[in-house]
Amino acid sequence: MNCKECYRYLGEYVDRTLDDCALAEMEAHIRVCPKCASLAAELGGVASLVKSLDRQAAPSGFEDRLNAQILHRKEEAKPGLLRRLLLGVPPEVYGYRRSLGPALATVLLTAAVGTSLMFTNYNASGDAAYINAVQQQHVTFASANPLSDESALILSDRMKELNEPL
Amino acid sequence: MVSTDAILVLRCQEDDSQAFDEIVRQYKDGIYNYILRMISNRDDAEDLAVEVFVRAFAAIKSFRRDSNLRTWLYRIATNLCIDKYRRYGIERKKLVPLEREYGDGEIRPMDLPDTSFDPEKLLGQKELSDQIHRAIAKLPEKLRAPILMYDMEDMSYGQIAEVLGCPIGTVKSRIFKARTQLRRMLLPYVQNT
Ligand SMILES: [Zn+2]
Repeated sequence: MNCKECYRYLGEYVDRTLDDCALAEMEAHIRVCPKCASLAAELGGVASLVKSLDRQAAPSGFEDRLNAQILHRKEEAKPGLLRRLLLGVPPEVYGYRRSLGPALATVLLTAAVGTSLMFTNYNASGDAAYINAVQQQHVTFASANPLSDESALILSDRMKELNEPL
Repeated sequence: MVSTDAILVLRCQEDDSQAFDEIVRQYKDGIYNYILRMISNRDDAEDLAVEVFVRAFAAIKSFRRDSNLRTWLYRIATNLCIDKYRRYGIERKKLVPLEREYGDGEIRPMDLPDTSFDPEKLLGQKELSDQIHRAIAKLPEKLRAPILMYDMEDMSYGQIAEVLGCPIGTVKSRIFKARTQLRRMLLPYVQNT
C-alpha cells in the first residue's frame, strides 16, 4: 500500500469499518510512514473529540409541550363555526338561537362551499363524533404535510440540495 | 424478527397512544441533541424537536412498515434543520451559528480560537466542548449532519445514507471531509491529546 491508497482508506480506518485484510495493509503502511501515521492519529483524535461531546437531554416538560402542540394542531384542524352550523351541531352551544342555525346556514351556504372542501375528512355530525374521527385518523393536518409520505420526502428539494456534490 | 420499533409503530397504527409516548420517550433526547448540535440554539432546538414528533404523530398512520422508525425521525429532524437554515439565510451562515449563554444572561456570538492560541494552556472540559461544538457549527450542513449522526448518535453509514437519501459512499466521503475540516480547526487540541 502506498500513501495515496492509504489516504483513500483513511476515513474507514478512523471509523474502524475496514475489513481485516485492508486493515492489515493500512497498519503495515502506517508503521513505516510517519506522515500517514500522524494524519491517521490526528483524524482519530478529531473523532474522539466529537464523540466526547456531552449528549444534551431534551428539556424537562418536553412531553407536555409536545402534547399541547398536538392538541393545538387538532384544534386548528377542527371545523369552524360555519361548518358546525351546516352540519347541525346545536347552535345554542355557540350562543345562537336554535332557529337561527338553519337560516344562517342557508344564507352562508354558497360562501361555505369552498371552505367545506377543506374538511373532506370530516363527515360526522357533532363534537363527539368529530373528536372520535380525529382519534381514529390523526391525519386531519397530515394531508398538507409532505413528511407524511416518505416517497415525497426522498424527492424533497431540501434533500436534493443537501445531496448536491460539494 | 420484528424489531421493537416496528411493534411500536404497529401499535400506533392501531391507535395505542401509549406506544407513541414510548417512541417519544425513546427518541426525544437523541433527536433534541442532534438538532441542538445542528442549529446551536436551545429554544429553536426544543421547538424543532417538538415539531419532529408532532409530524411523526400526524404521519405515523401512513408510515411504511418496511421503513426504519429511527432513520425516519432523523430524516424529519434533518429536513426541519435545513428549513430553519434557509429561513435564517446567508446572514446567519456568515456568523458562526452558535451562541453562548453568559452568566449575565446576554448571548454573544463566539469566534473560533485565533492563531495565537496557546496549546499548552490547560482547558477546562467545558471550554474544550465549546471549541469542538463551534468547529462543528462551522462545517457546512451537508457535512455536519452525517458527522453528528455518526459520532454522536452512533448511527451506521447505512442508516445515515437512509436519513439523507444518498449512497453509502457519499456518506463515507462526507464524514471523511468533515473530519479533515475539523482537524484543521481543532489541530491544537488534537495534537495536545
Ligand atoms: Zn504514507
